[in-house]
Amino acid sequence: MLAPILDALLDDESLSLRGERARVHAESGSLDGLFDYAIVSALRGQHDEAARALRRARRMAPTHVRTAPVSVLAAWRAGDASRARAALPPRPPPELRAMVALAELDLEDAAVEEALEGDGPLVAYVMARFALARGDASAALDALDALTPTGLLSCLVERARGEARLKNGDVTGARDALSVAVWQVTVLDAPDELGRAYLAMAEVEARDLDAEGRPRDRAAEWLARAHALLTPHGHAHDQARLRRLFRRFGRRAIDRLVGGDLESRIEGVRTTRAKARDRRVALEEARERGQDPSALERDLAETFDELAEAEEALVTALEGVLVDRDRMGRLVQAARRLYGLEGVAEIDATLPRLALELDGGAGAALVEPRELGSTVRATDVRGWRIVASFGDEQEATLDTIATDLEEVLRSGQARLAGEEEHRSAIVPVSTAQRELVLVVHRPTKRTPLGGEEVERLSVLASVAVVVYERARAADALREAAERDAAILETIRDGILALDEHRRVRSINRAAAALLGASRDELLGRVLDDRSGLAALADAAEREADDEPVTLPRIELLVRARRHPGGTVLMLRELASAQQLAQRLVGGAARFAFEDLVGDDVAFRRVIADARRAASSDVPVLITGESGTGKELLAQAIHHGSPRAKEPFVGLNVAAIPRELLESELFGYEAGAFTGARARGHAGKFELAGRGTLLLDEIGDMPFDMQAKMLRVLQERVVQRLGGTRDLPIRARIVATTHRDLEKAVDDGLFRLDLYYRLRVVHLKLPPLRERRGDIPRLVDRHLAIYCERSGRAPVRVSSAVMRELSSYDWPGNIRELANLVEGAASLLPYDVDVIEELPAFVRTRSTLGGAAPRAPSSAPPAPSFAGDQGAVRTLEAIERDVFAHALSVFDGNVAAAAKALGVARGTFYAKIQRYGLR
Amino acid sequence: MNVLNSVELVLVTVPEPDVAVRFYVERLGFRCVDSDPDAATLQLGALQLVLQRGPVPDTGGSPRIHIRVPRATLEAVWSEDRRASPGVAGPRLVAGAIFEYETRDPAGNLVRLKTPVAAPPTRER
Repeated sequence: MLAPILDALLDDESLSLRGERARVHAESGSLDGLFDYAIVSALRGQHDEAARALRRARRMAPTHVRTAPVSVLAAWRAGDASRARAALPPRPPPELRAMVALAELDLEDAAVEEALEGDGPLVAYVMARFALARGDASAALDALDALTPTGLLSCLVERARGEARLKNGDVTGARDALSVAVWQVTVLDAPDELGRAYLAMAEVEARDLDAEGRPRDRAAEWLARAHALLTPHGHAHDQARLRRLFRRFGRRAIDRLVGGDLESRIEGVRTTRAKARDRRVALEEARERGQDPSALERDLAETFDELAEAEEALVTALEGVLVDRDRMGRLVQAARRLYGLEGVAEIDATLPRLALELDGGAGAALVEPRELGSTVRATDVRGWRIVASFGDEQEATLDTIATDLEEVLRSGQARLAGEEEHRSAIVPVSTAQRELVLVVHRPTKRTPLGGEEVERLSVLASVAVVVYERARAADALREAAERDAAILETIRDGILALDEHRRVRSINRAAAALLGASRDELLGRVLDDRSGLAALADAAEREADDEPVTLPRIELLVRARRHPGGTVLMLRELASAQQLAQRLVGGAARFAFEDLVGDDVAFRRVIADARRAASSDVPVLITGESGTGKELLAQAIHHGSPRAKEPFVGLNVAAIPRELLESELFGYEAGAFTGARARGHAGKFELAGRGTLLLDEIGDMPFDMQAKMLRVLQERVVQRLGGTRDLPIRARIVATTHRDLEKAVDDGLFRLDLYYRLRVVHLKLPPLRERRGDIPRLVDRHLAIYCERSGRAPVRVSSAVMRELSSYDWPGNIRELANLVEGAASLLPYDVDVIEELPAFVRTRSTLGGAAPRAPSSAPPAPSFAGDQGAVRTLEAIERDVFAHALSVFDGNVAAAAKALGVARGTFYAKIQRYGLR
Repeated sequence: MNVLNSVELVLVTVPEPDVAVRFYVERLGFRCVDSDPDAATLQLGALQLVLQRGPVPDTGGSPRIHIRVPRATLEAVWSEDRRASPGVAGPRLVAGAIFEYETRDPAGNLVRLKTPVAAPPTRER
């Protein structure tokens, strides 16, 4: 099964013709055709084709006897020694072992030699190669001369002969042998082998030095030709050999060719052509004149020779350009790889490697001056820190060039340093943030680093600076983006950033959730294009300011802010915004009907009416003395209504200055009046949304405001002050007052039409003195609330005290009762759980204490400075009593009470809040 | 005036033109376009070669006649020379990837035959 391989190796027929035949055979489904095609492809350097054919053959016959030999051949020709060895069958014939040996001989510093039996030409050739590998050129030549090979083996033999002759110093003989090799290989049409012959030719020509001791230009020409063939057709060892030759001599010759020489050669061809033309004309003219043309003919023949030489020189120069293009290609490739890097650390780590690959050398390092005071590391060298390195001997090299490094850093100019036998190229790579220096060193006297290398490294460094800057900017942007994203995600509100085309550029999860889509679905999309979001796009366009926007599945409160690059939208669910608003205005509906304690018949009737009213949307008017629980009842109505989950927003009409009342109720647009908030303000009607709006103390509403209120309630729309848009009112209205509204209507202080509109359902809460039977339960309940809130053990009142409380008139009603029992409990020592007596002021006000019952509006007794049995009371307790007293005296009228006490109304409200007086 | 792109006429003096004509026609592939007892005009491509009766010029060992021929022609000439003199050197590869081979015409004129190395084939067929 080895015979077809050896035949193919010795066949003089063109490999391309043989390959074409085998391919046709293989495509007809022939297994032999596939193996033959694999063989010929391998011999032609078409390694992929060979591998494909082998795979197909294996699929057809997995254990075919031809597989192993052809695999070994293919691996040898592909330069894969390990694959060749792995493919060897058991007890391999010497020819197959010879192929493995040939693959291994291609390895760097190969010293493989093994005894091979057999006398075939392939084995003999391998033995000659062994001799050559161990440096015995004469023995190699003897072995080769004994061979009379044909086919591709003949090419291999001639190449080996050329190499052996060169080793013996026979340059001419080497040229002749290689010429034969090339002659034969071009007959066979094996491009990879032709490339190897050219490469050997380059080595021969490199021995032929010019007057300056430099390789002649021809070396570069052969190198360029070898490069052109081996780049597509050669294997890894060929590439390594190419690189080695380029390093040795290629660049010098190429530089001479390319640096201006090309132009002079083109000119040389032109001039010689013109000369030939002139001489031909002269010859023709001489003939026409019948003169002796021999001298002119000689001249013309000489010109012909000159022209041929000039053309050859030009071709050689052009080949040099190709090689130079390859070198430039490597620089471009390195630059591209640099451009492909993103992180600063990645660039640090890669730059030395790219620098080293550019022109070769022993090692490369990226260094920076060590910062003063920084920790000295083991790899630091004389004030320099190695950021990244590749290759060998970094520290030793840096130690010798530390002064040059400083000079490069100081001047910003690249330079060469060190002696010729160990030269370093030093190039600055400083960016705005970092001072870096790139060092490449090459310890060889034969091809020391020169100006061209420095120049190329400088180009690479310039690219690196740009890439560093870009990476730093990208890092900064990324950090900023991550920070912004993190900030955005901490915001509970939805944030949506649009560009000037209303394309979504940034969106947090909250916004995505509100809009019912994932972030990925929205990012990059134009808002208008997204179904159902057109209203949001409009809100962005008009720069909505806390405006309700209705989307198909949700109502949002939208605030839009325009900036030069687009618009940022802040989104909140309207309902949650309203809930937040009600928390801020203190009007949360915390109480339900269950919290309204009492068995009094009149009271229970009111509660029953309220329960019924709760289920409808009609306005409710709640009247009753101060402290009877009007607001609690309003909350309970809200809580018991279908609007329970919607906002409950309250507004104490009496507590708001008259001039602010309108804006509080209806809101205002930006710039509606002097002192208005720059961004406008939503009114209570807007905030209440679909919930309940409590208009507390409606009886104190200024008369002119009543007309506006009436219109709003009739038309069910509201306009912000300064605004033009109608905002629909969906809230249910509950109004309370301690005043007698009928009397106020009679007195002309309250509009009758508004009264009727508010009083669709009228609930009148009885005063506490009219439901004394409920007092014990109320006392117990408020004590329990206090104890739970303050974290102390349950407290109760003695029966004597309860009797005392039950007989009291309670002008402040339940609120007064709650405050009193809370005050009494708070004065109780922690180890006592029964209130045995009431504070003095209570006793003095209670009927048991001797005071006469009084009308609700009559002035209560003044608070006492002294505690029980003359004990000193805290200022806080006294202050609390003083404010409670004033409130009671003026029947809950804060303005009057504040005026009487000589404090600002705001201060009074603060005290009410602080002491829980309402 | 036409621009000269190549030399199209070469004159070679030979003692016996008819003998020389056979060599150039049979070995190198020229075509005889005109002949008389003292001269013959041969053509190979654009090149006209005039063989004129006369003494062989002394060129100092350098070939005076350079002819670009097909590879097969060069190979045939080389093969013939090998038969006559087995140790003869083969075509030599020179700069520009050109094979050069020197032979002599029957008159002893040194003739340099040139043929380019075939262009490398493409990788894929």
